[in-house]
Amino acid sequence: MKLVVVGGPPSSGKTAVLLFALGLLKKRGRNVGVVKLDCMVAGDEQEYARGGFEAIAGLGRYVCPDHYLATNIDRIVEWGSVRAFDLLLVESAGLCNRCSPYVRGLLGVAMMDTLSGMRTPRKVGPLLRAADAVVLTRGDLVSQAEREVFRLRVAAINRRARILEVNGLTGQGALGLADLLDDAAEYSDEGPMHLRHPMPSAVCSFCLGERRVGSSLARGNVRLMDIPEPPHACGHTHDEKEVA
Amino acid sequence: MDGAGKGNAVPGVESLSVKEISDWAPSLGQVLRQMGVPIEGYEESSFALLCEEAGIDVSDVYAAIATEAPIRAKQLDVQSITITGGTDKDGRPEPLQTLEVRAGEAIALVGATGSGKTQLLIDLEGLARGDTPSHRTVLVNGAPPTDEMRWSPASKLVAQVSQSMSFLLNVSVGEFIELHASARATGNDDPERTIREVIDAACTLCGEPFSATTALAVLSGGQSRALMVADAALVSCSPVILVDEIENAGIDREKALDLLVGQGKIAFLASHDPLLALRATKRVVLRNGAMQAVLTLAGEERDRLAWLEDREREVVRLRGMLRSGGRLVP
Repeated sequence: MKLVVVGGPPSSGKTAVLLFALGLLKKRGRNVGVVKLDCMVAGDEQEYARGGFEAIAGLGRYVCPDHYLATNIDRIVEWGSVRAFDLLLVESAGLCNRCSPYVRGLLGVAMMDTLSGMRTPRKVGPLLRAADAVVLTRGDLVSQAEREVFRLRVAAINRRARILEVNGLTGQGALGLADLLDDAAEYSDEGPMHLRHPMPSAVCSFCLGERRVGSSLARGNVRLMDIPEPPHACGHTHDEKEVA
Repeated sequence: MDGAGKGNAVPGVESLSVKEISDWAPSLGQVLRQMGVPIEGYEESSFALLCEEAGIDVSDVYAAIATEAPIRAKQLDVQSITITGGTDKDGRPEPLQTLEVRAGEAIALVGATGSGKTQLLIDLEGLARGDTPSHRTVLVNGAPPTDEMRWSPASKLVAQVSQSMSFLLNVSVGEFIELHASARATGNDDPERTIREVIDAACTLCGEPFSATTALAVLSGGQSRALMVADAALVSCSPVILVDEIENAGIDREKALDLLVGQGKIAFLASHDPLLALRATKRVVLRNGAMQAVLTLAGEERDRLAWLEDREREVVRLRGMLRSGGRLVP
């Protein structure tokens, strides 16, 4: 069974684009299963079901979908193995753009919305940097030149990745993605799978449900912000050099 | 482009003259000048000899022209574009199953709005492989294009001016042109000159000028379109050019087409303008998402074209008078 992890910011067009690519694989006779990991609201798995794919959804709720994925991946693989899929696709609707859900040795695909702005590729970090392939969506809404400039910005962050452009409304370009998925590596059960990039640590009172805010209530992994000293009453900072 | 032209990758090139190499890599003159070697008067000299006399390393020159040479060489190669195997909006085979266009031809796409003109341009821009709503396949010189031709901006064969009338990127006009030139690997031997040339060209197409520091997103619809035209002509600089309804842009249509459609290029022009439709080498009729027929200018259409051209000159004159705040009647 091939195992592929797809990540990308919410509303970047992941499900729409994947439905076109998986549709092409279905025509080639591939048996495809999908696991959708989301935050608060499910529903995308029904879209996959409508497209004729066996799909289940998991809701991270108070846990980030990427962390939730890392915890559950072995159980997800077990489900896929029992179902005897040719391809098991795991789609994670990451949350804070600091994680990357990809697993070493297995195909990892990032999705990026061309309309999300020039600086976004730099901001998303390992989600983009650690991917094997990057799919750019919504390119039909901008000029050819802007599409090419956005592509350049993505390539500057991840020179290794193959960059594809797919239209989530018409499916244009989905053939390239389907070929990529068809060539993906097989899952092998030799020892535990490894994330390509560590998840950021975030274990504090608020992760555990604390609702009263403030530094005095924070426990565990606490990071305090650097805030400059206020100026003296006379209007000058007490040591100009130190501030500079 | 990986590895292409790096170091001494093209054996035998040393024996060519300076002129022969600069036909192949137009930035050669610029590169040599930057190394302190003017080429004026030495065009016919042997490249190797010139380098030896000037005391510069041949492979350094190669490295400097490498980004450009393989691309230009590729771009000169498009002899024909073939569109084949499409279906209409109901999935039936389109009546005109194959259309082959040769270098130097301009094709007008005519048909009602929604008839499929833009989809045909999209198929051409992405060099479709049957994976678009029309199921068409586009062949270059009779063969399927490589992935690099389809996707890598530096190897793209197609420049497109779409119906889009605004930019979304949050950068200045100058930064945008520089970034795009770097994506296309053209004109980056002298970015400032490229920026100046593109802006100058754009400003002759639209009435109100703008500069390199103007924010891209605040340009008016006409200014944006003028910049898209100038960028497609001078930065994308491809052997195939696609233009979608240029008459709607509020810019100087004649000048825009002069800039875009050069000698030996293949042009596709989607248009509702009778003048553009008749001036093209051929016109393709679209209906229900499908190519129905291909027509060439025939018989009395020639007289009609002359008549339309007279009218057009008059309309341009009157528009100019109104735009500049004048009156039509003294």
